Amino acid sequence: MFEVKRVLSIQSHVIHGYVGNRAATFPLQCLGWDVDVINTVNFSNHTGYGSVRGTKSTHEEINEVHRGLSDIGVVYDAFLTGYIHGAEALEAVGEIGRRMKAENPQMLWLLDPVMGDEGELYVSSSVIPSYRKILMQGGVDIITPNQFEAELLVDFAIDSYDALQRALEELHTKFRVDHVVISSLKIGDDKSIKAVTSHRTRQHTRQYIFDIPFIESYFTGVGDLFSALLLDRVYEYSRLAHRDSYLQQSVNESLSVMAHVLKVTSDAASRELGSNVVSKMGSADTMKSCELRLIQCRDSYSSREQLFTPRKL
Amino acid sequence: MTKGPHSTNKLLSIQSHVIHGYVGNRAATFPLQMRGWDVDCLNTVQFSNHPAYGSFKGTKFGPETLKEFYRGLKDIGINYDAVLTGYVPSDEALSVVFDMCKDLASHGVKWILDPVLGDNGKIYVSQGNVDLYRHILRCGLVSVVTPNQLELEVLSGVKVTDLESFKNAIDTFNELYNVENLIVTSVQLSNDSASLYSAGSTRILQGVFKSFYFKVQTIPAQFSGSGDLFSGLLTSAIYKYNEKYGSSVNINTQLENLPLAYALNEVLSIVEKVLTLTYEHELNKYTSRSQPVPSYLKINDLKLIQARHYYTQELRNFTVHSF
Repeated sequence: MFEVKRVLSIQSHVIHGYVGNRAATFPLQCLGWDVDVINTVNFSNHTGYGSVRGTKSTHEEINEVHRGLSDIGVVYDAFLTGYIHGAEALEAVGEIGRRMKAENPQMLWLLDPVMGDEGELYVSSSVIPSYRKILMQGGVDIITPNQFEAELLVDFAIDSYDALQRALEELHTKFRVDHVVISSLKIGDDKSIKAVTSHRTRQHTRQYIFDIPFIESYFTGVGDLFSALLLDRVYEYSRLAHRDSYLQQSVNESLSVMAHVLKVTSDAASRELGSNVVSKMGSADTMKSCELRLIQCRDSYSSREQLFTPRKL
Repeated sequence: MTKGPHSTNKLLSIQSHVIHGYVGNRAATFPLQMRGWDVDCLNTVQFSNHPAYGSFKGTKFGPETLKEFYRGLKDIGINYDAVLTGYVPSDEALSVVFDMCKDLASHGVKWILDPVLGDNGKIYVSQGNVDLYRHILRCGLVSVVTPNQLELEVLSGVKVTDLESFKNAIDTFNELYNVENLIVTSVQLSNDSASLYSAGSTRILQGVFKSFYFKVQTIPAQFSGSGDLFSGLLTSAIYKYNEKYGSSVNINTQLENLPLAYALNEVLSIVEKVLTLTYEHELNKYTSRSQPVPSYLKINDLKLIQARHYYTQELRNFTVHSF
């Protein structure tokens, strides 16, 4: 009765608001995880406010605190990484993951290669080869790129279903990841947004495609919450026998929780700002109203609801 | 201030961050979040774990960095209901933290101050630090102060050995500092090793305080982080019971009907549950290996996550006593 799952999460910290570790930690704690939290940056708030103050940890500092954890002998069931602010820090994190995986091959590693969205890069381009290198060395179990990030990794445009197949194949083989989730995708002239899951085992590759509603991408922290929820579900379901389509189910449940959180957040933002929220974004005054309502949604993280009907790809 | 169904209370918590384990902000944050509070965490340090493990690595944020954090929050204009402060690693940093809190408190934010000086008979901060606490308590901006036995003794100058000296220390503290709410977290009296005493004292009118205490059974162990869990929970409990009953308090209010007594009763009840669960877990480590259990345990990590269902329970298990 006393055992809990233990995860190490290396992401950013903001004092106010919910992105990075602040978006991932509380939901995972609600789901019964002991979450150990390494903060790669300490900022007053996320950068979307237009002003921000704080500090970044160097790669030496990240390595040092991880040595501290090794010294007291903590072992993790899972490892979660998101936005890392530069190539050196990223490589330090990759090295930490590799060491932990070597000590505990059962550990589940989810890497969210946060680089940008919709054609816009918001990290230095030097992190692209670092992500490729970390992945190719093996050990990462799940990645959750958006379309742009997947394209940066494979280095070609995903502009057709054929290209999508080639990209998934490359992410599985060249980049050695068994569970690939492309969190948002638009193909060709089709205006609808899709999510794609591809799970490779020794016997099969199972692929599903989801139609997802317009994800309010102007809410910051959405991807960080998604990867945390996904990690929990994959950890649970991959340990059960006869759950061949567990990646699809995990994504379905995570997206369903997200839909609820986004609805609560969007309604609250509209109440505070009036109906046209998007047009009012960008200033500190309005951004406060657009933070995820993570606390108000605390009873929803364990929901097993599956709102989506994916098709086989 | 009453909150609508969609709002939450907002706390700025200024304490240390450990990557592993539950002390400082890591002990205060999650229970408060479970109780529906938005907790903004201004971390004064990032350490791998707390020092009682015997080794740790990490960095302290210097006074300039702490100032920057606060400037960042001011720039975006966040409104808080309360600010909570605990252990701060240096005199300089403490002085910066006090400036922030003075600024907040002068804008109506309730300041809950845990004057961390030491524990178990040992002071582990500098004399300058102690003087700074004395000064800050006198300035009239602190709403709630939560010393332990040693801190009460140091700040009041009265040694606590029995109920009489306990009451005397509380009265002296009130005379010296005149803080609206005083909670003494845990006191061991020399003639009763089976119990811990926890007291509250609340100002009804200028110069008139009502004081009371609870008696809790001792658990034969030392828990890192229990004080930080305590002050975190207390913040929300005081807020909750002040909203419920605060307006009806007058000079004739019975001790058991004081908002502070409700709040302390609730916090003691929850903390006892968390500590008992943690203690049983520790015992289980020995019994499952058929090893003898030491008579006194030092426990590094609270089972904060396993205990998550306790934080929202309406528990008030103890009886209010008058001195």
